[in-house]
Parts: sequence; C-alpha cells; structure tokens
Amino acid sequence: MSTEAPAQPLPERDAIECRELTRRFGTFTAVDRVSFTVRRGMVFGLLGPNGSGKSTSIRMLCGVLRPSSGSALVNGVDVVTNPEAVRRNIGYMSQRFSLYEDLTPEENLEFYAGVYGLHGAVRRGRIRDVLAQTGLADHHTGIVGRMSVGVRQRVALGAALLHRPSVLFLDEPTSGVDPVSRRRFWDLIYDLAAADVSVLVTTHFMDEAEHCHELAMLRDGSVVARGSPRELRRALAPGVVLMVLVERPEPAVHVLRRTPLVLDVTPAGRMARVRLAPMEDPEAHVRHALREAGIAVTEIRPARATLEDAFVAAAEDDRP
Amino acid sequence: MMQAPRTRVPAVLRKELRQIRRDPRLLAAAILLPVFMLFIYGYAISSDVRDIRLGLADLSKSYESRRLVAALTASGHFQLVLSSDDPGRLEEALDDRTISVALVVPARYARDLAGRKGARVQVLIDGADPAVAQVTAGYVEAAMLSGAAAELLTYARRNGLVSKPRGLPPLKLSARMLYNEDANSTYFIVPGLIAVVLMALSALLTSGTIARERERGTIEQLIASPILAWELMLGKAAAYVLVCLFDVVMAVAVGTLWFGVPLRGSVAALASASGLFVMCALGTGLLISASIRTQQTAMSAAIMLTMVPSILLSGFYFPIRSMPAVVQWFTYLVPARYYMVIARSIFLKGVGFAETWPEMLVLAGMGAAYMVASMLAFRKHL
Repeated sequence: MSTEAPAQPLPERDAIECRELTRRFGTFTAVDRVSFTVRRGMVFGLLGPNGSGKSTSIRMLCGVLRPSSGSALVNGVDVVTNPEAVRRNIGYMSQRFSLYEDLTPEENLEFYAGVYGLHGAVRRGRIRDVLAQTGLADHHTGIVGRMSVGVRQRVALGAALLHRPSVLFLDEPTSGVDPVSRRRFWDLIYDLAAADVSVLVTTHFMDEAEHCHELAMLRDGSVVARGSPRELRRALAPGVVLMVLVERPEPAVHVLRRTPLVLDVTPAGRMARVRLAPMEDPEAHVRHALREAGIAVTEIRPARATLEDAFVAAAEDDRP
Repeated sequence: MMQAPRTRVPAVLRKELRQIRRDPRLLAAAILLPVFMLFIYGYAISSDVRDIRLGLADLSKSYESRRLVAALTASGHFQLVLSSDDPGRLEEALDDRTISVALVVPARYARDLAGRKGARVQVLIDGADPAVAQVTAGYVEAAMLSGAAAELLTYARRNGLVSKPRGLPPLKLSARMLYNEDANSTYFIVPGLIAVVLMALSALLTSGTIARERERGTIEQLIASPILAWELMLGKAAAYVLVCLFDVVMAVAVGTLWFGVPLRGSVAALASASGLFVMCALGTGLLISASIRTQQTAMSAAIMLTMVPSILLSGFYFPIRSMPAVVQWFTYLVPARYYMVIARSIFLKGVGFAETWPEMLVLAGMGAAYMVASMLAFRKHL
C-alpha cells in the first residue's frame, strides 16, 4: 500500500479555504482579495466572463502561480508554504490542454501514473479504470494531437483522476466540447462528488453553473456574489420573469424598456423576455403597457429567473 | 512492508524517449548532424599543405641551382608550375595566385656558393593566408637546409676534407614524430572534432527541452503535479544521454573508419570519458533550458555558449599555451579542454584510465555541477 499514499484528508477541514487571495501582474490586479470556502464533496463553481480572474485563482490554489498576498488552504495544507503536500492530493485540469500531444492517451496516463507514484499492477488497474470511467477505452490508440477537443479533455480529466485526488480543480473543462460530451462530463463530475471528491470548476456557461452546489461570481478579479444557484437567483434577480409573445417583437422591446418597474428586457426570437420588479399582477402590468402602445399580445407566460439574470443584476449592482 | 523510495525518474525517461522517437526533426539532428559536422570540419580544418604551387626563376642555370630546385620539389610539398627567366613575371603570377611561392635563384648563385661569402636565393611567399604561408615557409626552410647540408658535404669532399670511400658519417637530422608518425593533422583534428561536435549537439538537443514544455503549456500540468525538479531534470538527462552516447559511437566510427584515425588506447576509458563529457554538455543544455523561456533563444544560447568556447578555448586548434594568461584561466572552465586531452591521448598515444583519470575527475565534477545548477535553476511555478 505504500506506493499509493492516498493521504486521507483531515475530515474536519474544508476542502478549500481561501482568504483575501490576491494576485497582481505588475500594476494589474488579476485577482483581488478573493475569499471562499469549498466544503467536502461539493461541486463549487467559479462563474465569470473571460478575464475575470477564474484561471488565475485556480492556478494559485494548485500551486502553479504564487499569490501576491492572502492565503489558501487545500485539505488544510497551506498552498504557499507547503505546495508539494498540496500537489500530491489534488487533480488539476488546466484550461489549455497541457498533456503531451505527441503521446497516446495511454502513454500520457502512464507518465502521470508514474509521476503520482503508481507502479505495477496498481498502475495498470488505475489506467484501465480511468479509461473506462472517461469513456476512452476505444480511443486509446493514436496520438492525442490528432484527437478531437472532447477526447482530449477526457484524457486530461483521466490524468487528473489517476491518483484518486480528494480535491479536483477543473478550469473550463467543457469549453469547445459538444453538448453530448458536456453532458457526459457533468455526469462524471457528479459521480465524483458523490464519492466525496470536492470539485472546484470554472465556467462561463450559465447553464453549467446551475449544476454546481455553490457558486462564486467573479467580475474583474473580485467576488461579486456567492451562494447556491437558487440563492443567487433569488437574491440578485428578484421579481418575476415573463415571456411575452407578440406579433412584432422589436417595437415591443422598445416600449417595455421604457415601462416603469421593468428591470430588464431581452429579445428572444418572436418573444421578449421581461424581468420586472416584484408586484401584484405583473402580467396585467405588461399587457397594459403594450396595449397603450397599440401592440397586440399573443401570449404571456411566466418564466424562471436564470443565473444570467442574476449575473447581470450583480454586475449592475457592482457598477459604481 | 517498507519499500525503497521510488523516484519519478524512470517515468520521465520513458516519456522523453517516446517523444524523441516521435520527433523527426530531433532524430534527424541527432543522427545526421554529428556525421555532417565531422565531414565538413574534418575536411575543412587541416593544417597540412600539399602541392604548393611553385614558380621558379633560375637565372643561374647551373648544376648547383638545379640541385637546389630538385631538393625542394623532391619533398613532395611543392609542384613546379611556372618557370621563367623574368623575376617580374613571378611577381605577377603571385598576384593572380597562379603560384603561391616564388623562388628566384640569382645568376651568381653557383659562383657565390663556391666562394666564401655564401649564396643567397630569394623566396617570395603569398602571405594572404598566414597559416598556409607559415607552413610553406617551414617547408622551404627544411628543403633549403637539407640542400645546404648536401652542398656542405660536396664542398668537404671536393676539398679533400673527407676521403671519398669512407666519407663523412652522413649527418642527418631525424626528428621522429611520436604518436602521429606522419605528422598527419587529421589525426590531431578528428579526436578534437569529436569533442566539439558532441558538446554542441548535446547542448543543442537539451537546450530547448524545458522551453518546449513551457511553449506547449505542458509545464503547467507538471508544476501542478508532485514531481520534483531533480527528478524531471535527471529523467530528461538520462534520455538524452542515450541519444548522445549513440552519437559518440557514430562519431568515433566516422573518425576511425572514414578518416582513418587510429584508436590505439582503451575503448573503455574513451567510453567513460565520453559519458562524463556528455553529462557536462547535457548539464549545460539543461541549465540553459531551465533559465531561458523560448526554444529559439535557448538554442541560439546553446550554440554560442558551447560551440564557440569548445572551438576557441579548448586547445582544439589554437594552442592554449600561446593564449594571454586571462584567456588561459577561462579555458579551465571549458569541459572540451579536458575531453580533448583525453580523446587525443587515448586515440593517438594509446593510453587508458591510468593516464587520463585526473581529467576524467574534472569532467565528473563539472558534469555534476552543471546538473545540480540546472535543477536549482528550474522554478516550479509559472
């Protein structure tokens, strides 16, 4: 058993705790006093657009980049003072494919199995498991450079899982991957979380963020909101959302944008998506406004506030 | 049960060998470059001067002058291509380089030789290539000396200083070249060339290896893994040692089979010294690799930092003894200096470990120092 050393994490510690984590590049602050906690077995999402500091944060937590200030504990171990101890128990999948394109998936896995100290029968067993787990059993011949993005991402995930880490860092794991593969990827992430692996995942897909147990929304290097997807929707995008079907959506959008108590209007095909402040009868409010403008309403039905709404709201609140 | 701690070196070694095998450019460089360089330099760098084109103006037209010319051409180094009675014509020929040496024998040569004042001849050498000029001057001098000795003997006989039957014990200066009997400069150049080629090639192959991981982004995964700097560097070095030892074998094969350089000493000693020398070169390459971010810059740096000192400061072609003292100190830092001595001694003098161990020790120390430096230079973060 000495070859594997799965190094049981201290059960009472959170998987990730970061406090005031900051990284500056020259005068530019990429990550500005970011704090959050990831509990064991959680799928925690860092949500934000490109350049909001997601990758920089994840790199600091994996010991790839050194923080300018602040602290971070992974499995209760300090990332700055004891990075090697952290690295032994984490799996990391970077945004840019960072395995060897001139090797086959199996050769890549073999190399990282060696790096994580797996040998002999254990190594062979783990590689077989991971190939099966990631659905690569049929893809393990030929070099990775000639494979699709989806397959590459699965190889990368496989390499990150070989040593059965207790914390998994996934940086935009599904970017450039087709929807079917994306779905499979998330199934896998849930399986891992169910097996008590804590997962920190970054994404800019709002629908993916909905899959996370908890989220931190990042904007310009700072956390603008934190909570479960449901909490975020409630807290940040209160009121109601209606889908309004009209003959000609363009003038309708125009009219609604100038209507009081309407927070946000987005055209959606032949419909307009309208978010309103909380009120008694929002449907009547919309009908009334459109009738005043001489626009016939075909149908109005209630819709759910999305994380995108929440994100837009948070971004607006954040604006000085 | 306790188990010996296992390092990640074999995993790195295996991965590197796989990558080397799949990199056609690297393979081509590893296989063709040493042979190519050996051929180019082996033929280009030779201090032997053959068939020097000689122009002659024999104004004396005497038995004595003909004997002088015969002495000169008999050496095999000179080829008489132009004869003229006009010394001015010879100068023209020197200018347009149809000849590189002109010999003017004055009309009074035979007379002066018989007299007591001594005879003079004029030798004009094209000095445009100082190296050739120097060698040519040496040959002329040697030929003239032997000619003069012959004259002296004739003079002595003619004047009854020696009786004909017994004669003067023929005075003969016989300088025997030890270890390189034919004074063949190829024998001297090729073992040194092997050193230069190995140094440049090993450093070149390894210099880009870390920069490549950086450029391709694969370094990020390595940094996030528990691999240690020394494991990574040692694994990479081990892979390239195999490649470079293959090059050693090839270089020695070309040197002995093609250029005909005799390998007289201990093959085991040559192999050991080559291994140590390759470690120095790989260490240098890895140190460059760990310190420089892009492959291209790293490769240029490798060429500059290994090739130039190995050619200029190693005693490969320019004797260290004739360098200024400050430059001489620098030569002690050049691994090729030590390997050059070992390789030449083993090839030509036929020695083994007993005679070359001090240099080997220096190489071992330098190799270890470079390897450790490369491990320390590798920073495990972006």
